[in-house]
Amino acid sequence: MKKLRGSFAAKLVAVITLCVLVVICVLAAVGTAYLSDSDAYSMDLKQAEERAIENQAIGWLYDAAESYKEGNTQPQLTNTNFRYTLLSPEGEELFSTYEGEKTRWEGSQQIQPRFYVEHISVEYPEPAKAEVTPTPSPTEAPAEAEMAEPTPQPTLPPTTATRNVLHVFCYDTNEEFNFLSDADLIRWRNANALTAKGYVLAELPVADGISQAISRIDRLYGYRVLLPVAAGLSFVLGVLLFLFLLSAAGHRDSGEEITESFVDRIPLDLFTLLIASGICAIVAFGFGFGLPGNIVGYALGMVLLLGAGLLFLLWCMSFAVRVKKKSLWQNCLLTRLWRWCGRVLRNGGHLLGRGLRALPMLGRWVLILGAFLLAELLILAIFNGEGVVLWVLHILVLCPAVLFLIWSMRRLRLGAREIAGGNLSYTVDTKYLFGELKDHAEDLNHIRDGMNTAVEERMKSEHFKSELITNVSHDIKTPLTSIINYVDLLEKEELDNERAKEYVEVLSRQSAKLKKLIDDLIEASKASTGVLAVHPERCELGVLLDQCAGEYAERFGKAGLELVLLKPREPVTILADGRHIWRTFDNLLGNIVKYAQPNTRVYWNLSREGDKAIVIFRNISREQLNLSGEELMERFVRGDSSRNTDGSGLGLAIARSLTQLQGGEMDITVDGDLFKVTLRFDCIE
Amino acid sequence: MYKVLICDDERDIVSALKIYLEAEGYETLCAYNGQEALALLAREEVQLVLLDIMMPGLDGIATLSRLREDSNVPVIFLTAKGEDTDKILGLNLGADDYVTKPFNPVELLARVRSQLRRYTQLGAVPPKRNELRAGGICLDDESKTVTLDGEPVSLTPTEYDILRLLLQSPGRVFRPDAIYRAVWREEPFGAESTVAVHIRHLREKLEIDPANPRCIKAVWGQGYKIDTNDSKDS
Repeated sequence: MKKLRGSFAAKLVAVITLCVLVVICVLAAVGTAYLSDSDAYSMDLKQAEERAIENQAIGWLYDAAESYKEGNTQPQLTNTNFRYTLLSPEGEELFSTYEGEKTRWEGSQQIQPRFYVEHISVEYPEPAKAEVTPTPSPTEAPAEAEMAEPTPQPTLPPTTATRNVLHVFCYDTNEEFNFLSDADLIRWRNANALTAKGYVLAELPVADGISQAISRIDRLYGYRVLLPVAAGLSFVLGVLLFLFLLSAAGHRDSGEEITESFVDRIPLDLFTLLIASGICAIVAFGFGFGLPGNIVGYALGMVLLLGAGLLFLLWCMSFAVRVKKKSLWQNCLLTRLWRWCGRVLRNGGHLLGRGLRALPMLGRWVLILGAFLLAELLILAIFNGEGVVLWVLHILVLCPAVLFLIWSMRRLRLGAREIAGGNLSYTVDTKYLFGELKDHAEDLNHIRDGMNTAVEERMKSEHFKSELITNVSHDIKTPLTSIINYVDLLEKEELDNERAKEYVEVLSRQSAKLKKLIDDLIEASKASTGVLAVHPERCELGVLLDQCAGEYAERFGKAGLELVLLKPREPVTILADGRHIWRTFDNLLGNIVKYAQPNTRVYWNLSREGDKAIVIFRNISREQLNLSGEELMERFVRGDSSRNTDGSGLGLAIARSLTQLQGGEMDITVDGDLFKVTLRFDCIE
Repeated sequence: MYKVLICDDERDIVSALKIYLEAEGYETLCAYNGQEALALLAREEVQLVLLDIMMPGLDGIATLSRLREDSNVPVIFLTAKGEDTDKILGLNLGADDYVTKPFNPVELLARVRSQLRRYTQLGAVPPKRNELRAGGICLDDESKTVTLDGEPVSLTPTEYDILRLLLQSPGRVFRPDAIYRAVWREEPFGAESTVAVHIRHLREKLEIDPANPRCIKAVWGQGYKIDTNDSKDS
């Protein structure tokens, strides 16, 4: 089944079979209908023939009568086995083609006038008397008028000025009448009916519709059981094939996925319109040209029917694909239009809303309320002028109430804004506030209290942190000062012991290192805990780079490094604390002087990417770096595993903390021996 | 013979300072808290005070404000905090300089010398015409000489020009390219860092701690200026 579903050949075969089945079904159904119309299922062949003759003859009888009524005085249906006589309502012979031949069938039919009825109200200038008033003079159509006139209605109240009547327009005579009741109409109708008598000649000397009908019955009668069965079977099979085609729609190459063809990508409504207009065109073609009533006409009709059917099938299959793809509504012009309208409306709404919001709160609400009330007034004035007094009354009550509400809300709004703006000593006044609004005001005050507490806690904790760092720093630095000073004094003493001199030297060196370490440690903890105050000001990075390059020119020269400074011509400005950013650059440049391979170039780039200023330091490391950039920024991690340089291992960590403190980012990339630091800051104009 | 009052709650530091100062030939008085210092100051004629900030009882800041009520003696703060706010507070209250613990004895002695010289010598000399002063720096544009705390300093012509430019508008920040144009009289074309090199040389000649200048300051990302806030003498 799956394989069949994916196969194009199977679908083609299915479509062709379906066409054949449709043809069979239609033909069989038509045959069955014809047979049942001729009562072939309840009678024998003879009677069925008679019935077929009668059906045809009565049809012709009507045609002949209508033709006469339209004023055609030529004898109709001359070259047939059919003869007829028309009698007036009074029984006079009006027209006849029957000349007393021997007949096989005779029948008569009442041919009633063709008319159109509607219910209307009619005004009567004078009450009673003339219940029925034929609009044209009754003398013009004496027969009809006579029948219409004598209809007295004693129940009629004589004072009524208007009356509901049946207004009749007769197509045959182009006359109009008014009737008071259905009974009158029926009486008029029957009184004006022509009597048509029809005759079918015995032996059927001419080949016409009647002889054809008889031969058709003779031929079909033998298949009278087969035909309905064939129709039913082909119908069932056709439905099955149709279902198969629907399920196979969209499948290709036995896969489960649904493939849309270009037909399925046409928007649904457009596609439906195309198909519908195609079908309509075919039908219109069929009807418009009037297909000949012979075998060619029928065949052409069948082909047209099949064409329309195929278009319908195409639509159904495409619909099935869309349902399977769940793109039924997405791929639809109307949906798109609807969405577009929605967007336009929404945007318009936003625009309107923004415009309204731009007004002060009170003014805005006055405007809205005014518009609302005006609309209400208009509606009242249009529908009921007496409502205006009521309207004025309810305005007198409503307006102050609404204005009071708005005033209360405005107070809440102002309070909330104050608190949101950081004014934590503001209290929303709950006097004159009622109900929900009062609760809300109290809640706002509670929020403020909560925020107050939180801010105090936070301040306390910040203060505590900074106190702790300061005190620890003091307590460590005081003994360290003594150590450094006394070691220095010891160095100046005249020591005759060589070894003691050596020891003092070690003490001096190590205490200096300890000093540096402690300074850096305190700096690092200050920077990373955010205790450090930041005073941002405009800082032109190009100038800063020049300044730093000048500061480091000699140290770079001594280390045998060449500094290559690249910066854009236009100034790149950021907001930064000058001292912190100097400290950051100082650390990074100091790092380079300490760890770069001598006799190499150090590249220092400044660039601007969008609203970001980017500073990149690049140098070749002297030692092999076995650590990632991220690890190098950890505290106390040093690139040189021997740890014998005079660094504290905190330089990069401090640089990063200080950068972050100023709203920047710092990244380190290690690529082989290339050591690259990237700093990013937000530019200002 | 100058008399220096040392006031610190840490006795070892006081005695170390005493040794250094006496080795330089100063007379010393020792106090271990604020009250003692104030008492000594009331009795003795003192030319300089070394005052610790963090002391039990009366701390350095409070002592200084009491002291400043009736004395103009130069005061050098000893601070372990290294907090900028403390430094600024101290300087605003009338301290003349500060030294951060753990200090370098050489630097401390240099600052003591500088303050004493300024206090005893320069205060008396009335400023001449064509003379620019800031901190202990004095530039005489007539004789084209520069002195630091009364001692002549030798500057290159470029350094002299830069210093004169900065001194002419103390407190104003000069961009490196502006300095270059004013001094070299040509467009810098990327030579702005030369200015920074010369400034650094100036600082090495005129500042006790060039890495931590008190007078010739860099405003990072903007330029350079002569800072007048720290130096009360000018």
